Amino acid sequence: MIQLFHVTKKYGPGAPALSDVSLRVEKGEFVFLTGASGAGKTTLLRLIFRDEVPTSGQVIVNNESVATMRRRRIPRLRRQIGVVFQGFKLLPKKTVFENVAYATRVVGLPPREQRGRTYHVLEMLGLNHRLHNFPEQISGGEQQRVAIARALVNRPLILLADEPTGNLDPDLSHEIMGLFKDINAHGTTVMIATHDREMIKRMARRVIALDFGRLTAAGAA
Amino acid sequence: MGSLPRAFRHCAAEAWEGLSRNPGLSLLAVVSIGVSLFILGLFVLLILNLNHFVDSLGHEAQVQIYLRDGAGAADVDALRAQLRTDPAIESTLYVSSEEARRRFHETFPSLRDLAERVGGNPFPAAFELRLREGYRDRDAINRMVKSYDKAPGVEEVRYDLGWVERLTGIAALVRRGGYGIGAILALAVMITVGAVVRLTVLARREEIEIMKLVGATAAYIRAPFLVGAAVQGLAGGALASGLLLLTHRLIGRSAIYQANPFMSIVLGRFLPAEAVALLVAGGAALGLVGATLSLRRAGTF
Repeated sequence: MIQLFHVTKKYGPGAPALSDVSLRVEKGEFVFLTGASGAGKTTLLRLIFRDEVPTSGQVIVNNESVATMRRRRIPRLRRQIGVVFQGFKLLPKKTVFENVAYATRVVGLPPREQRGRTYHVLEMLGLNHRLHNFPEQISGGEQQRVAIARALVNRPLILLADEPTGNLDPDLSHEIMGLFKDINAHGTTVMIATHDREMIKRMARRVIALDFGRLTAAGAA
Repeated sequence: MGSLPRAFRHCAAEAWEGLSRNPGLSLLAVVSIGVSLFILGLFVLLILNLNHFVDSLGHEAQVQIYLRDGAGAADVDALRAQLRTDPAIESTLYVSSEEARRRFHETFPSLRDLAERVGGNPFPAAFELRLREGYRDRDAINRMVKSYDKAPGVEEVRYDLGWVERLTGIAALVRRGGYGIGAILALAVMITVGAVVRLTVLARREEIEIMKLVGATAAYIRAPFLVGAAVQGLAGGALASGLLLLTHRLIGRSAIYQANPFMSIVLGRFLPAEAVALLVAGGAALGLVGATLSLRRAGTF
C-alpha cells in the first residue's frame, strides 16, 4: 500500500530530514513509526500524503507515484488518506459537527450522507454531546478526537496519525488506540507516528524506527 | 439535490461568508470599483453624446451648387441629370432664385427690405445636395467640388464641412482619452479586487490549508473567491450606474446646464440600457479577472 524507495528529504543545507529511507507497508497493516523528536517521523508522513516531495527517491501510495504526481491529482490521493495532524488543525470558527462534516462536503458527498456519516463517526468517538461546541470550548483530548473523526469520516484506505495520543491521558490513549485497531480490523492501513514506547509495547505491532532521518536496524523489517 | 446545484450552493455560501467576514474590506472594494466605473461611465456618456451630435451634423452635411445668373435651361437640365446618377448623392433639391428669396425672408423677416435695396433678386438658384453615408468626409467632398466646379452654368460649389470636421476631431480626441483613462481605470479595478482577494486568502489561509489537506480540489477552493469578486464587481457596476444617473439628473436640472446650450450637446442624453448593462457586466468581468490573476499569484492551490 505504501512504499518508499531510497527516499531522501533535505530542507536546505545541513543534515537531511530523511536519508535513504526504503520501506514497505502492506495493505491492511498496522505499523508504528517511532523515533525521538526530529528523527523524521512527521516528514515521512507528509511525503505520503504529498504535503512534501522527496529531494530524491520514490514514494508509491496505492500503486501511484506520489512525488511525480500532477498537481490536480493530489486531491484524489488525499481523499484516500485520512490524516490526524499533530496540532489538530481544526477550524476555530466552525463547530465540532461542522469541522467533521466539512471533510465530507469537500469531497462532494450528498448532504444526507454528509450528515449521516458525520453523526455516526462523532458518536463512535463519544462526541455526540459536543456537536455544537466550538474547538476552544472543549478539552484537548476532545479536540484530538474531533481530528480523528475528521480523518475517518471519508472512510480512507490509509490512516496516518502524527502523535495522536500526545495530548491524552493514559486511559483515553488506550481507548483511541482501541479505535485505531477497530478501524484497522475493517481493512484500513494504519500508520501511527509516536514516541510512546509503553503503548508500542502494549500493542505489539510492527515498528519502523527512525534515528536522525535513517531507518535503524530494528525498523528495517 | 444534484451535484451542480450543490456546487452552486457551496460557492454562494462560501462567497457570502468570505464577503461578510470582512464587510469593511468588501465595501471598500465595491466603492472603489464603483467610483472607477463611474468615471469611465462619464467618459462613455460624453463620447456617446458627442458622437451623436457629430452624426446629426454629418446628416445635415450638404453641398450647395450655386448656378450662374444666366445659366441656360439646357445646362441646368444636364447638371440635374448628372447629379441624379452620382453615387455619392442621396438627394438633390433644386432651389430657384425665387425660392431662395422666400426662404431668406422667412428666416430673417427684419431684413426683408435689404434684398429690395440691393436691387433685383440677389439670390442665385442652386442645387442642394444631401450626401450619402460614406461620402461625407473631406476627400469625397473635395472630389465632388472638383467635378462640378467647372461644369457649365455653375458659379460656385460650397460645403459646410469645416466645423463638422473640427467637432469630429474633438470627439476622436475625447474618445482616445476615454480609451486611455478606461484602460487605467480597468487596471485599477483589477488591482483593487486582486488586493482584496489576496487579503481574504491570507485571512482564510488556515482554512484553505485544511481544505487542501482533506482533499478539496483547487476549483472547489477557488470558485467562492471568484464568485465573491464577481459579485463585488456587479455591485460596483450597479453603484456606478446609479451614480451616473444621479449625476446626469442633477446636472440636467442645474442652472449652468439650462443657461449653456453646449451642455446639452455633451450631456443631453443618458446612456442607453445596453451601455448600462455593459458597465455592470464589465464590473463583474474585471472582478473575475482581478481575482483570477490574484489567485494565480497566490500560487499553490
